[in-house]
Amino acid sequence: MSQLKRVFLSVRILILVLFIGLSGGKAQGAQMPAEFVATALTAYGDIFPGQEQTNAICLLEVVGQKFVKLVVQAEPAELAEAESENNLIELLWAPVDYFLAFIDKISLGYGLLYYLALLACFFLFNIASVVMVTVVSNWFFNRKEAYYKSKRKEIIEIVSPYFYDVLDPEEEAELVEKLEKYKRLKDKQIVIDVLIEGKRNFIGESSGKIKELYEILDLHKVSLRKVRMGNWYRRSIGLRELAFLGRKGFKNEIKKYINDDHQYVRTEAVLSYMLLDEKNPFGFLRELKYSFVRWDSLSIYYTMYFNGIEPPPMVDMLKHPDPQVRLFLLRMISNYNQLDAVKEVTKYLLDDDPEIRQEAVITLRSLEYYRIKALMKKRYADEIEPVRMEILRSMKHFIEDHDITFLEERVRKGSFGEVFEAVRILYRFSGYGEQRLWVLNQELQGKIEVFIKHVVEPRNKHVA
Amino acid sequence: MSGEEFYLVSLEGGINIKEKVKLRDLAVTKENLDLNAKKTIVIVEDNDLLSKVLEYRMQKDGYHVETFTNGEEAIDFLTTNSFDLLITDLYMPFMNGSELIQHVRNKISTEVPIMAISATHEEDVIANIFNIGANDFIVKPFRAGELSVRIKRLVG
Repeated sequence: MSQLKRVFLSVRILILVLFIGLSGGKAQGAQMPAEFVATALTAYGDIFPGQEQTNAICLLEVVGQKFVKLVVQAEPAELAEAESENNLIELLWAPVDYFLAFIDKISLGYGLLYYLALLACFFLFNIASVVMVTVVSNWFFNRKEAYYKSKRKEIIEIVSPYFYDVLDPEEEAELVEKLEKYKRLKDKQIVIDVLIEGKRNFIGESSGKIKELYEILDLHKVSLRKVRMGNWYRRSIGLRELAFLGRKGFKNEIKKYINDDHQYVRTEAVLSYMLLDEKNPFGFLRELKYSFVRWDSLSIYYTMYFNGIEPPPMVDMLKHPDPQVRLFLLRMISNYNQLDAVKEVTKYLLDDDPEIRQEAVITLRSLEYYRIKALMKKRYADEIEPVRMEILRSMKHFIEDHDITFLEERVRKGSFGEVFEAVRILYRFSGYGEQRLWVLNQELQGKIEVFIKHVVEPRNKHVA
Repeated sequence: MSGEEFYLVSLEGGINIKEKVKLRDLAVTKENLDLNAKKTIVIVEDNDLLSKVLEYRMQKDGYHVETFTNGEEAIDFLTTNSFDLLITDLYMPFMNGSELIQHVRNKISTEVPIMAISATHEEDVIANIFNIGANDFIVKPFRAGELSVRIKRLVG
């Protein structure tokens, strides 16, 4: 028997022994393996007399040989005879037989072994490469982070007095000299990050000094380079840096990106423009060619709010061709309570775009422009449902005695929402309003009782 | 003169201890006493830049400053040492400013002034900070000079 064949047989027999051990252990307690081993040792002694019987490989081999001889190579008649003669066969019960047949079926040659070995190698290689990539990238990341932290600490030590103190020219020159030593691009970026953070935390004199430092150290060139040459992400970061730290002159550079192809760059350019032109923060609207999205309007509102930018008179720009911009301006008029815009806003109650008409109603309501009530009531019949609902909600603020008839009409003929709103307004208007509701309920044969009960319920009082 | 020797007599466990010291040692002792007399301000702020700038400024104003990056770290110090003002950020990892203020007020001191710093503009948050025991609140970004004045007012 060749060495390879011997190994192969041994592997097969090992599987067999394991299988017997495991299944025997389950089926008949721990006795089965011991019994099997004793029988196998007897058989070993028959075949290889005088040899060391405790050799595990030999033991497996003899079991294998016996098995091959008795099970695989034997004719059915011989097998039956052997089965009756040899107690080894008694150990190979039916499931084991089935298992061995399966093993033989799939391992007629040595190909499977090679295949398994190859698979094992591939598996190990995979694990090793994953571990290697993780370790190496982690190492690079840690190294980069450690570098960033140490440089940042150094820079913070240098610039701290600058943020809080009035330094004399000599001290200032010394500080600039120290910072000028950071010539590498990544070091300059760390200086920019620290300055931006300073700008975020301090206002007043310190803030002005930070901008000066940004110019003196030529850091704006780093930001401009990012804006001009970077991908959309770097471009956005560059724009932000220019807006936070740059002088107003960069407004023209930023203007070029207001109509950039990338949405994020456009938004960042708009916000940067606003920060650099506080006197006319909505000047970018004149340049805007892309449609203005709601997200932009939200970002603009928060930028104004958090940076204390004074809102310009929105009424001047209400004729903007983009309906989304007009919507945004209407909301801004409402947010900043620009009362002098009411006349212009009133015109938008007749706009072609229903969304703008709806927003105009909301704006006039928030500006508490009571005189508009008559026009709203007149327009009511021609309006679509959402605008009608806003008109009704406005009525709640503007209601007078003679409006009761109008509201009763809504209760009689309106949609589900309109009825609900009209019932709520009538109930809250006065005791007379509530009285009228019950009369109406009788007239409508109890159809609005559910609505009345809902608005009367004390737990629903908070509903606007 | 600086080499002149003195005897310091102190009473320890009912026994007089006579210690020979030189004048220069006495000077050091006096300096140490002055150091101890400095008011201590504890800054709890996770932003290293802001923390460093405040520390720098307050040291220049003559305070002794201890800085920590979160509430959990600060508690050990606050429990075992006396301090004259606690300045804390609101949003920090592990233990935020509100939790720290509550801990100080419930377990350490009801008297010591506390100033909270945050970028939040939310009225509920600000009202809650005063409710749980903060004496002052400053919104980021702030004027450096304004903070110094507020600190002086609180510490006295």
